[in-house]
Amino acid sequence: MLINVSNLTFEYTGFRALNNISFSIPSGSIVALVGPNGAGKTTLLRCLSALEQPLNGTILIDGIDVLEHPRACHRKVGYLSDFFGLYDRLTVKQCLFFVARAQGIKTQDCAKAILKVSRQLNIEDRLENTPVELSRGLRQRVAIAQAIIHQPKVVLLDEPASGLDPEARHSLAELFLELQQQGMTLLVSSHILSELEAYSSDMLILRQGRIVEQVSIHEKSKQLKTFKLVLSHSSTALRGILFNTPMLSHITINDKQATFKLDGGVNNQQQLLKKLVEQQVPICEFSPITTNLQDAYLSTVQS
Amino acid sequence: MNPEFQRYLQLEFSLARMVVMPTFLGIIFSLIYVLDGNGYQKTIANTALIFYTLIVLFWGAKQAANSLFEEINNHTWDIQKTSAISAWSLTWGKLLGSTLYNWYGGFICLAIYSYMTPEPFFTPLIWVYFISAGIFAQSSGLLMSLLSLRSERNLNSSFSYLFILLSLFLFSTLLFNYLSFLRSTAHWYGHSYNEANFISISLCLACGWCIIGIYRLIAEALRIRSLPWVWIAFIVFSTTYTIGFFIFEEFFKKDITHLIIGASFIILSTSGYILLFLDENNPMLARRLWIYAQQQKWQRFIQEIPCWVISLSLALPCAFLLTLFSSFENIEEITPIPLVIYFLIIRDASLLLYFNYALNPKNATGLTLLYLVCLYFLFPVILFNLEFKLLAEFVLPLLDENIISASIIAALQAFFVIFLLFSRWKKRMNQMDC
Repeated sequence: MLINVSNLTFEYTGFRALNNISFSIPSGSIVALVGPNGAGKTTLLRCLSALEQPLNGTILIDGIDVLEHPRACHRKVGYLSDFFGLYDRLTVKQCLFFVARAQGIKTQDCAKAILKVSRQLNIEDRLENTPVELSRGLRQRVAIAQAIIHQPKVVLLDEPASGLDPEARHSLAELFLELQQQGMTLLVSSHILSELEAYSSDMLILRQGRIVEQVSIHEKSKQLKTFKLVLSHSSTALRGILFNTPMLSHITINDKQATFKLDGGVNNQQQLLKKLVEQQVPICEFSPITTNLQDAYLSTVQS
Repeated sequence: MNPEFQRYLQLEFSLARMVVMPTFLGIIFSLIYVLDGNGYQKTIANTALIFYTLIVLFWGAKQAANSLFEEINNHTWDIQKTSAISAWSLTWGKLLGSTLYNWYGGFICLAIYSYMTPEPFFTPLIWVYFISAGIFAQSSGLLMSLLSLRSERNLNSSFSYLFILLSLFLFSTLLFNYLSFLRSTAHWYGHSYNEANFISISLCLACGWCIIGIYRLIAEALRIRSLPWVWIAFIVFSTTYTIGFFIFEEFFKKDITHLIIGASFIILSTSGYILLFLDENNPMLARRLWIYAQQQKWQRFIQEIPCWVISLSLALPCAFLLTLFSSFENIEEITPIPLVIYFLIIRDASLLLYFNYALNPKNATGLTLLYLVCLYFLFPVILFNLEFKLLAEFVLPLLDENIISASIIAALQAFFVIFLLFSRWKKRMNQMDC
């Protein structure tokens, strides 16, 4: 595990923002940190990047105790705040040069690092502009470039897609997958669940300062793979077939429509369909009900 | 090169700015030359020093303070805090980087002064004095902004500027009397020194402590922990420095131990009292300390304990010893009521914490100061004028001539506020645990 958090508690005067939370994040994953406003997402990210001091608990990032050795952790972590700022009087190139030097990259290696990160973020043609001349999306890219210029192992991003148009969000998702392929581990907090689904491998649900659930998104989707069967007219045989098929569960029949969960892969689907056709059940539709991250999130939070 | 310094170099030194400063100063000095026919050399030299003061001290201090306020307001402070840059690089990068342009103008002024002064013999001394004064003013500006950040108050830069301006105004009167100090003598630890040299060295030492203070506060912002040795060293230095002025006075020769304890008490209680209002006093810090104590993490406990607590803790034995000396040797005129003063400081500290631990601690410092004005001034004056002398003495025990009863009343007041504070703290913690 690259990130290990145990019994983390953080309090602001008057309320507990993080309540004794523990979780682990494997290396090379993209974890979506989701939860309602005030759930503690930003506080958690700030604790992980050693910007806030928790009341209790331990945070280990790549074996480094963040609370004991915050400066050592900064070399391994890149952080993008939700209210990020840029040095507006410098050019983008100068901004990146400053951050590269501040992150300990040698002067002679800075040009190479700037070129690499600006290509990754597709901002090479903006290096001589000042941040004030850039759109919101481009400013966001510059801020992300600053956060990853030192090639950190862990990238913590707080609402990176807020205020971006759909095209910019799409390219951001592609960027995150690219960073993952390079071996980085990303923890991304966002309210826009549909966008997280495009690139996240895991989901960490935070509510009222507690971890409600940590789950692999693909597992979650698999768990919730439900099928829908629609008939052209009612069939008495349907009930018997469905309830006598062992691979089905959670069966609901409603006149000309039925829903159920089907274990296994396409072969089981084919077998079931074959059985129904042989028994002359008047099928006009047989399809999986797709559940998205939002459904998964809502079902977890509501339960 | 230091990245922070390099960033300022890129920001501050555009060609246009490089040209503007000498042009502006050139116009000013040319104007003086044209207007002031005969004595123009001396006038230009003096004007150069005045402009140096304005550019390096006043504007420079503002720039140094602004260097941090700008980072906070532009949301770039997090970038620096999560970088690998060292606290020392950030200290001198900010201090020298943010004031580079001011030094550019300042050195032009000093060069003009050196060329025009009718007393060239003193020029090296003037350079040392004015440069150290500039560093002191600018480092004080940065120190103030760091302290306001630490105390988690709203970053009110105008308040800091006002404070800096007032301090600099007082400081510049000292600065322009410098030449008169050249002819007078300072006595320190029984030795005589040229006063101008002594002030220059003292100023350099003050600069050193200011820079160390900035370094410590930046290190703290970067979450680098350390034991409070620097603060203790500062207290020892201040006490040693202060004692040097009195130790060979006839009056103190009789009892040097008494003088050392007395000076320590004054330095500890004064520094503790000032820092009390500048430090972080939120209940979460107390809660963290409480947890460290419960977990017996004593090193972490000492690392995070506010410096004012250390000062006031060390002041307590001094207060006791002074009181003992007073009663045995009958020299109350030097240390009249140290215990009374100590208890009143504890009462005031508890009062400040009490307001800070409120559910909505808005402007706790302002509220405390208001209460203190009432307790130290308004109520005693009113009661005294109404001839309720006993009541006035009860409100302000310092008025009581009997040291024992004054100490008891002050202790009662302190314990009463401590009780209120403890009750509020307990209530707040219970709310948090629920």
